[in-house]
Amino acid sequence: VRIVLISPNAAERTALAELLRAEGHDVIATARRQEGLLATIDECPDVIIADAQVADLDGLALVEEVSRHCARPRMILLSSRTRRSLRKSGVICVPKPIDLAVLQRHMQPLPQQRLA
Amino acid sequence: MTSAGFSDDVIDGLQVLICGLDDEGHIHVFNRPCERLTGYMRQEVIGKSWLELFAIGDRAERVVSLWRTAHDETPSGPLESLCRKGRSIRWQFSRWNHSPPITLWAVGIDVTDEREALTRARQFERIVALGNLVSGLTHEMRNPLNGALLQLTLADRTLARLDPGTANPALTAVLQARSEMRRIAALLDDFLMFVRPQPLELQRTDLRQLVAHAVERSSPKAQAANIEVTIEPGPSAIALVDGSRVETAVYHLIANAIDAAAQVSQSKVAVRIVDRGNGIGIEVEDRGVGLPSSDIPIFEPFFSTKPGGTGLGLAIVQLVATDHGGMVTYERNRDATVFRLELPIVGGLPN
Repeated sequence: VRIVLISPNAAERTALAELLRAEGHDVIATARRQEGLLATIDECPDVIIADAQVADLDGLALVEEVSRHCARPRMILLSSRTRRSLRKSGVICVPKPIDLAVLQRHMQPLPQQRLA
Repeated sequence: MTSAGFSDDVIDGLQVLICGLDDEGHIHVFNRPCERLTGYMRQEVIGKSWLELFAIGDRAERVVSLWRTAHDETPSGPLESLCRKGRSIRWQFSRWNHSPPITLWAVGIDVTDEREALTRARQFERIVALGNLVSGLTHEMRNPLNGALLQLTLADRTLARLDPGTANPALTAVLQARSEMRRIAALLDDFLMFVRPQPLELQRTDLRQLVAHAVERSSPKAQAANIEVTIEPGPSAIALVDGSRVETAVYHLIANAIDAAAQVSQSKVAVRIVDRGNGIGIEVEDRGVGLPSSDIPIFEPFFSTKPGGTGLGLAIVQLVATDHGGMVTYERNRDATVFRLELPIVGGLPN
């Protein structure tokens, strides 16, 4: 899975990038939203994993921005708060501290994508 | 009826407290509402000092000070005093030089209920402010905690890869640090459920799957204690519940059962879903030590019988149960302890 990881928290970003790479994913990790956006436009990743601290209030704005340039990627928001309101928007919210198994589960292709 | 008698009737008929006072602050008029509220009869207080009656309790000093201002100068602003029955009275003073010896009228209203409502509102505001503070702090702590946990996971995997199959003290240290940090994270989650309860998000949920997730969540604890947690077979059960919360409640029941079983070297904990007629029960059974007494308040927050226990687990189970309109019960049969989370069937039926 091609992943763009955007997190201003160095401890979170570096460790998570390494752990995901060890699982066989392609990961571009950036600290800032603008760099992440440029990387996303270049790479057209399958998944964006963004810390809630960078992705505006809910990550939706970032997804909309990315969607103008390439196929809509799956958006996973890492948040210290429960954000039930995001469920309907398609943004997946993974609570901190992150359970890696849960994160991996959210990165699996959806059933229709598997069929395609 | 004389004009004086007419005035007395009018004064008695008013719904406010009225005291007529002379220059020295002695009482000459004491109407019926004054009698009712203070418990004094008119005859008892005529000639007595107003301060003697109303400068009492924890407000005495302030009443005396304000009284002096009101009495020596032109009275301004209200003065609040207590009376013998503990009621709060707010007084206003008016100068009067037309019916000696009365030179000052004190008019009071009972503000006890208003003050109590205000006190309750302030207490509630303080609790909300404290809840917001704790909630904000808890959320903020999750960010560095997350970074630290991820780094420890990376260290653990790197060490395991570099030095596989040997007892590496560095790896042991990393695993222990991670385990302790997970405890902090779990404690924060539990605490947050109390300070910031969320409304229920009811969804049709497969309880069997929910129980499986709770068992999976408890597996590190079960493995560490060398205890097998099994789900007894049975039909699937669908119910309208807040899956995340019920899973947390079941997790706490399983975690408690593991702790109890581990104390007597028992190796099994059983979880089962039972049809309770008008509801569904999720039972967790262990053959551990059991409760020391049936009278202890096990569902009270911060009460624990376990060394190092936070006392939040069972309180959370009860909170989840009651939020769903259900309850949590426990029973001891011979050597088995069974905790049962009972959920009413709302909008869904067991299949």
